[in-house]
Amino acid sequence: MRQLAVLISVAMSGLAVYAAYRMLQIDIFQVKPLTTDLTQFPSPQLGNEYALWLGVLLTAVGTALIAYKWAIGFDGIQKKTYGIDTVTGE
Amino acid sequence: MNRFVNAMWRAWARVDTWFNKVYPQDYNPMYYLGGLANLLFWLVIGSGILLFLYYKPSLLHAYESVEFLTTRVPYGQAIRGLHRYSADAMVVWVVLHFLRVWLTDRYRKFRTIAWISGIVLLVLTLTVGVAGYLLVWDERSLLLVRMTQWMVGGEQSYLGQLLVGGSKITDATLNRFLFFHIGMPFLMLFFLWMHYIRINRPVVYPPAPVTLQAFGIVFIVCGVVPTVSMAPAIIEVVPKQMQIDWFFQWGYWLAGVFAGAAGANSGVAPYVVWSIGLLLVTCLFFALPYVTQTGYMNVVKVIPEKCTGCEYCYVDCHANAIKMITTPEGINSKGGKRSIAEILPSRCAECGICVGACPFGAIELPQLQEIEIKDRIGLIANLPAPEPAASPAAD
Amino acid sequence: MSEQEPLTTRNPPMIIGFVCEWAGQLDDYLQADGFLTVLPTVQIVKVPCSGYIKPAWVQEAIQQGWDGAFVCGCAMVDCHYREGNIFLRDRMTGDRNPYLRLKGGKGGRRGVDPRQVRSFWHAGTGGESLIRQIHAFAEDLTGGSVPLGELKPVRRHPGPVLDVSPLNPTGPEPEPAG
Repeated sequence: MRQLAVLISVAMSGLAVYAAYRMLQIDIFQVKPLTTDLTQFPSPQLGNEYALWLGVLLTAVGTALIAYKWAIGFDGIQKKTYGIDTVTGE
Repeated sequence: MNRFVNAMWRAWARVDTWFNKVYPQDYNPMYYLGGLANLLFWLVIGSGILLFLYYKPSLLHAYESVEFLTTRVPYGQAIRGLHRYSADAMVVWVVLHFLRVWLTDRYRKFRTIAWISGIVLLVLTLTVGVAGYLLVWDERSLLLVRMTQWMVGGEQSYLGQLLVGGSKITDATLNRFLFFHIGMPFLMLFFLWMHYIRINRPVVYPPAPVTLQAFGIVFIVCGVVPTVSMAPAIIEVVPKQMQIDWFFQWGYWLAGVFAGAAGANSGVAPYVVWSIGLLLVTCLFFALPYVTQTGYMNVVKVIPEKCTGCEYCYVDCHANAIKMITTPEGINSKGGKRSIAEILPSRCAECGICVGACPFGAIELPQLQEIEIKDRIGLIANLPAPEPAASPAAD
Repeated sequence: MSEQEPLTTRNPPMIIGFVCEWAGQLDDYLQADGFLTVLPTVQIVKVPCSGYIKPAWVQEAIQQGWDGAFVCGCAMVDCHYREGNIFLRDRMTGDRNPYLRLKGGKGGRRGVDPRQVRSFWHAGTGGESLIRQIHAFAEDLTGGSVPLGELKPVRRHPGPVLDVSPLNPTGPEPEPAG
């Protein structure tokens, strides 16, 4: 279980880095958001792609955090808290 | 009846345990369903404000303003997608939250006000969402408007005219829809306040990893499924079908199925029957806390002579059911204490958390007093040396 | 887990457990006097919420001669009354008043041996997995193996306390047929 958690944590972190790279590759200033010259017609696909990679980044970071918690043995309580054994069931 | 409640509750607990295998217990999203709905509500509002900057509520300009936003404004389609898909996700979490609260028996007595405001919020969420689709003023909007008019009695009925602001659809209609879509969320904010009012330290947001995942999934959908409008609406022609958003328009689909089953010449009657049925089901849910009053017995009682005014019970009570009052005349105070605890019976959940908090034994649950617990602990003195594995069939 | 020295010479050990009625459902394994059918030296005291449990009872139980004491509440964050299990957890660890006095912790010499106390945080599903965990606790106490009856739920008996609650039918049940 712990090996799986470490694996997922690392994989998700890698995915997050890749998503950040893809996000940063999109030249957001090509869109010139503050321009009043609307003959500059940006493609809506740009925003969609940006949203997609941002979404992958957020999901990957969230999943990596969860997997990290499992990997360090945290199960919601911590198995041994200040002296008495704690068991989380189901 | 209680067996049914018990079975439903255990079934839901079983579902929770599946998620407990994937998430550590205190990151389990099933325990934060309300918080997730609340979170996505802010995302919907935020993206909605950005969309509101470009929308023109008139018959002539509504469709083109939305098209302008989608294709010409930088990131317009992405923000529009964010608005739509976070609203869809919000419906998912709201419905799950509603089901969980209902099936795990968390809506009665001291939680009645949260339940009532919650049902109102559920209805408002769905209504505001449908109203949003009306603003785009494409074929789907027109069909939705007509179907809604049929559901309240027809296009010329009183409610039908109230919906569109007259006997014909005009610019005023879109202004009215704008009110439904933007004014009513303020009502939702009021009912959200009411939803939290009797809860001490409400958990309103999920923990960070769950938040990140929830947002991330909405963004991914936003990127993968671009939002588009259908063809622009022509008022004289009622469209025969529309691309349906299942999260908000399941009611319309069901109404259409019902009407289809009733036959082609039945007019608006099946729609009216359908909407009355929905209304009845909603009223049933409103009445639920009042018709299922089983099980509650006695609220906790303070023993004033033992109370020292330490406020542990006051802080620990999750339902704000305890308040501190100045010690009344005639109570022997313990070392000159100035305040003692007092119970507000309508808010007491009879859980006994305050009993566990009291180091002085000054508050007791009448149906389970400390003396009974002490008796059970004292059983050890009377028991003979244990025999190995008494037979399970002994009872 | 059997490597540690045994804490008691009694086998099976006498254990008392304070179990929240919304947590792991032990009703199918309870005898009428409160002992488990499959572990007949384990006494179960049902309470309306784990927050109702006073750590003083755990202390008193150990001092009066029980070999072990445990508390069981709902899964974290899922208390039926929202905060009871969190408060109990904090009371058991010494972070919230009134707290459990453990030897070597805040209790000093008069505290209880922490190995004789355990806490379980269990969702409201069937009692089998909770019973296995209690059994593991029993084995840790004795340092050896403890006999466990066959895990077959018998028709539910009324619990020794709280016969009337939102989850139980009003009043005790008639005797089961078998």
